[in-house]
Amino acid sequence: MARPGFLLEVDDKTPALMTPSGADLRLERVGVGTHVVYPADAVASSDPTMLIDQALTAPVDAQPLVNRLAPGTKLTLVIADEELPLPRPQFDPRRTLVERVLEAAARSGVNDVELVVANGLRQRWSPAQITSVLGDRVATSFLPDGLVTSHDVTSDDLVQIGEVDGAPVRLNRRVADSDLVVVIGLASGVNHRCPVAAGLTDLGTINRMYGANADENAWSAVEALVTEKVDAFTLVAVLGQPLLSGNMRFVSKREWEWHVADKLAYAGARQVINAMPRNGASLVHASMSADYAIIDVVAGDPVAVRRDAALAWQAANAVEVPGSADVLVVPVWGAAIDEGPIGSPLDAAHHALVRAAGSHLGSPFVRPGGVMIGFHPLPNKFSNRRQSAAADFFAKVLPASTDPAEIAAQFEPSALADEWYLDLYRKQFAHHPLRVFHQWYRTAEATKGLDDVIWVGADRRSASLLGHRAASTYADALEIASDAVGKHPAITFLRGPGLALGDVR
Amino acid sequence: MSRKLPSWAQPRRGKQKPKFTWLRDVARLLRTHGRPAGAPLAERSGLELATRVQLPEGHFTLGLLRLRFDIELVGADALTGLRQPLVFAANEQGALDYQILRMALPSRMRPTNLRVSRALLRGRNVVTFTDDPQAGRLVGDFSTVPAELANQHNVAIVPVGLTGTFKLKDILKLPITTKPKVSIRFGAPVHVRGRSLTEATAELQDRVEQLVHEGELTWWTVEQRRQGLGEVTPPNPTPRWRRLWDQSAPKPEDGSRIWR
Repeated sequence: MARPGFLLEVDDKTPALMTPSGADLRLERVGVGTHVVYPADAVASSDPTMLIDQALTAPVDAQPLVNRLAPGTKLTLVIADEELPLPRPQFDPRRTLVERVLEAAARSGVNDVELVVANGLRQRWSPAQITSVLGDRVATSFLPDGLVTSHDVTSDDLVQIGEVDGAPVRLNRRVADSDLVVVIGLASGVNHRCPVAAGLTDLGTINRMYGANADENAWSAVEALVTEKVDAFTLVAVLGQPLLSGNMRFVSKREWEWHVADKLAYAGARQVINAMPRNGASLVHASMSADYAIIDVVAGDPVAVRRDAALAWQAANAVEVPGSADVLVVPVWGAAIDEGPIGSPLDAAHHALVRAAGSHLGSPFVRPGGVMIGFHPLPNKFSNRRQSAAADFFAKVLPASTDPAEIAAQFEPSALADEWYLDLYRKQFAHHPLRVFHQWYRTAEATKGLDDVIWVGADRRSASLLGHRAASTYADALEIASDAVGKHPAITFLRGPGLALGDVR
Repeated sequence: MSRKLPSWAQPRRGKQKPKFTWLRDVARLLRTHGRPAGAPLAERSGLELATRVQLPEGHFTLGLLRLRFDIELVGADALTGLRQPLVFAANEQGALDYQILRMALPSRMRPTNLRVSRALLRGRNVVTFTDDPQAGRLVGDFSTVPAELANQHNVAIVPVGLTGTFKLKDILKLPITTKPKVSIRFGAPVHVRGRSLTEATAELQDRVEQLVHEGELTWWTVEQRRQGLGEVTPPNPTPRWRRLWDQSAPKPEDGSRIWR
């Protein structure tokens, strides 16, 4: 079992702390008295087959899967793709989950099997991505016959399964027509929403659930409708913290436990990045992957599985924190937010404010009116293919307004009608243009309660476009923050690269 | 409509200059720090025996094999992520089976067939073979040894189908100009727990026979057929020369060449 996470109060003995900023790796001295939240230790994974078999034979609030499979069953495996754990997993557990379900289906003589990726607004999976996540066996068996598909939220071929508040809810045809849907997913954070509702419905429904005017009632109503209409069996692997291997192992270790080899690896990686500012980061971060231990595998009724998986993740990752702080410090490592080495400014802001700062049990890490200090260079760089809509959002929408309601009214309709973005989404494996809008709404919502957001070492124009501020050093950032929180603020520092769940009391 | 940004909010311009940081970092890091008060003790990490398989793109001994054989590895991806040690269970074809299987695998995965139980305890992979096939069959029978080993050590059995190694030692002595074709096919792992040894051995037998007979089909088709047919129907008895003839069939021309 991994060592649980803990809260460290910085004292004179505490070494400088690992504070990644985009691709840059650095050690930063933090003030005495700062509370540093360390997530649980990252440990190596083991073959999850036994856990999966146990979960399939003793599911929660449901019959064992084999009892529900018969030769004539129209079976669909839904691969949830809500929040990809980054750095990407060395051994993606979804592959083993899919293989075990398929073996059970083969034993029961099921012939009609298809796999659907519940990607929602995220990029649709390319054949290379399908092969890398699900493995050669599944890819060679199903891809040539077109039996692995990614959901298209703009497709005309969706089936209406009902209405919520007078608006139709349309679902992926294959899923709606299936006798049994096995939903396969990962739990690696606090978001435990229904992946079918979020990933396999139509654009209008997703916008009602996540848009600028989203409300909890719409969520619950759509989830309830989907649960009622789709006969689903859910299988979820609960993941631990990312364990970096090889030369990057030091990232997953606590600073005072670094051996000489770790220290040399750190100095070497930093030197490569600094000696070649253009390509060094790509060289160090190329094919970055991490090993995630599988804490538990939960199977059965979708609602019960989401509840139990959330509890398992909470039990493994919760860290008790004494009270909300005045200042929250979040270093943002590029490899933890994007497939590239640095990550875009929008991804960095979303990660720091929504994912990291929002990973708590109800009471936030930082008090209302507090300040968040992030570490990221916020370069104005986006992937031409995957993030075309995000690049335009950053260049054209944010200079005009940061207000979600205004953006939704004035810019969202034209982006949704843009044939170029839609073509990139449908054919070039780019994110849907609506994704960046939703991402911004959540970021803006999280910023609302804070007095200021300050980025250390950031591009000043990018920070300003986000409505935030930039500082050259950590000390300068604290100096700026002192206007709002005084000269002696309580500081909480979230040490990555994984997420801890804050049990703030 | 446009927001007015402050005048100092200018984008970063100019290229970042290369910096030499190594010496300073090393000097800074070599200063030792104790464990901060309240930090939990470090865990004593023992020697990790159970590692998961991650196959490299290529390796030295496989490259060497390719100099002498037209070798193909099929379904090696099925091994990815499995916890080692493993029990490889292969069909006996010829005298070179063991050496070829070992050389085709990277050094950390190379199995042994000596003192197998002790090897498994030490975290090393092992290999067991079938008996010699009876007349008319391509695959001999497995004993319950692989299942017993897997059960005793709680490890997975990897079915391996070898084709092209029949009489290979004799073939290599011939003055032939083409490389003999050898195929090593890995199947989905067999887990023994919760089942009887006989049942697991029957499944293993079944999978290896399928791999040898139907290597060209997809895993899902093989799985379905296996379930549908129950037992694999042995092919019609084949004369020995036909096996050698098929195994040495020329490789189809792979695309046209520009310079001919």
